[in-house]
Amino acid sequence: MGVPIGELIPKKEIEIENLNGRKIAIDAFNAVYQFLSTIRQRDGTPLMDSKGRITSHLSGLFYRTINLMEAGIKPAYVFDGKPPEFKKKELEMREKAREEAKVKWEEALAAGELEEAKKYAQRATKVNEQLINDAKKLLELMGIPWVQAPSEGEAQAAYMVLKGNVWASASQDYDSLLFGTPRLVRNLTITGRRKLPGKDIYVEIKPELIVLEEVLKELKITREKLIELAILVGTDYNPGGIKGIGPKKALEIVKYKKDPFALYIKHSDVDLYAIKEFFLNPPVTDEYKLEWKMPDEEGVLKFLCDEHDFSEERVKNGLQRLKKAVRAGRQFTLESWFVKR
Amino acid sequence: MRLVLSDAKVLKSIVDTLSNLIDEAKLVVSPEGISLRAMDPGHVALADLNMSKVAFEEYHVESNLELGIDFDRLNTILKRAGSSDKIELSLSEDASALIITIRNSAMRRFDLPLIDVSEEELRIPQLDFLAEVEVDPKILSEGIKDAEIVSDHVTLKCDSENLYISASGDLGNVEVKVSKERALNFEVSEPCKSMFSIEYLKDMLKAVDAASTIRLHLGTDIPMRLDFLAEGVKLDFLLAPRIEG
Repeated sequence: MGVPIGELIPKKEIEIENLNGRKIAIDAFNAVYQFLSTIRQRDGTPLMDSKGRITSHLSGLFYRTINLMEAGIKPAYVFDGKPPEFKKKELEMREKAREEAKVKWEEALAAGELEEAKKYAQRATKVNEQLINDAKKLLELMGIPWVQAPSEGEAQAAYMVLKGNVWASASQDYDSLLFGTPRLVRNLTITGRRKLPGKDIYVEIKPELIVLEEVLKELKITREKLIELAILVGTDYNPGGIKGIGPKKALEIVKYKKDPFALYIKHSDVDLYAIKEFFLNPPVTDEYKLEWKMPDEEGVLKFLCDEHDFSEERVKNGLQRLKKAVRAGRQFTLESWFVKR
Repeated sequence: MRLVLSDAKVLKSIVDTLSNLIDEAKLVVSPEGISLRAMDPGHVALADLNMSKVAFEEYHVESNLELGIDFDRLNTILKRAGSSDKIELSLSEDASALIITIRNSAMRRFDLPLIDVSEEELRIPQLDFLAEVEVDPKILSEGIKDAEIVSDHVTLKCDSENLYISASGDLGNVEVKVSKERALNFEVSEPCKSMFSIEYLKDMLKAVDAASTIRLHLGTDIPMRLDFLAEGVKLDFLLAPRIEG
């Protein structure tokens, strides 16, 4: 998922405290996916209520959002709308990979191989409409704003940063940069540590800040060229990209070819120019309102504890922390008052 | 350049305060005095220091100089000086280090290598303050300590009669009322209030040791300005507010 150009992108590790006072537009699909794939039991089974409904995403969303609010960050979640036509192939590929992972998960479970089972269970993670609706409902009750994007959530988030309504967008995928976000924060919705794949070692995960201007300066290209580079390597809209072209080669190509697609368009079954146009001018909306309100305590308790069997004590505790964070307000920076040039 | 302070007290206190807020800054030395303007890394607070040459026992500066200072290291050195020790500041021959000489029974010399400080033009924002209150610095610092019992943020409020320092939290409420009779100067054009982080305020209020009086400028949901005044010394801070919602 997302464009595999990480190796080219300069990023700096930051402390969560550095984001104090910042409003951040979070790629909601990406966050929900992260919660669903990581918050699982040892054999890979997601958290479920007594009726067998998945609740991993609700648990992640509830506690992580409170942690962010406590750190002085004001999160706004941006949900995907209708995917563009040319994303179909990627979505079909993902569905197929999930089906395969599901079969392997069941096989591993039958064989009693827990670690294998968990690995495949994570790959079988599927975000469906019900889970998304649950997430929206929980945010609503928590008093946290969410935004419905007309198309890609990352495009909408980038637009909100460009408009100055939020300071940065947050996602694990680099696509946000292609959509033009001036600042991208990674690892924001992941909890403190991550298990190294296949090993029993945990590493501390810290947020990373990527500044688009610095990326372009470092690579010595424009955003348009960065989009071309990504398309050559492969995006969600043309998975795999052009055969045999990796990030480094793509960088060379876009630097020296005015129209790098001309060479490859014949061999491509998708319209590379249309994809580039989509990254440059994606559908976005101005219809959103960013307000952080006091949580509807009764509503949250009813939804999480009565309907989904969460521990009442823990949820009440979380609500106390959330209320305190809302009351504490937001630490502004002096920039809000500096004379605009 | 050669600057002599008859005692270290004021400089120690100023540098100790600044080192809590800023990592590094450019100290501008001119024939009239020394000055500095810098923000904390989070851009929540801004410090503006002016020390006129009259604050010094001896002051010899021929031309303008800009010295990049690592404040943590300067603070470490000045902590070695007693409050009544005489302090002399000069520049190494190749202008690569600030030489700090502490004189008491012995003459102790420290070389502080100067650093490159990235240029950042800092403009003071335009602010419409509604209240200006001058008080004994202790009143404010004690009030903030009271508020800290229940919260990590404090509301400063002014009406035509009083300055209020208040805080509330799960542990209860605190209110400190300072009547205008207790203030050295009290001008309020409109009632106003803003909320601030106690952590930042405490860092700033470390400078009270250096100040004979403190002046507070307040508005509604805008930064506050805090001026510390002493003979020949003006240290101002701007602190961005916390705003609900």
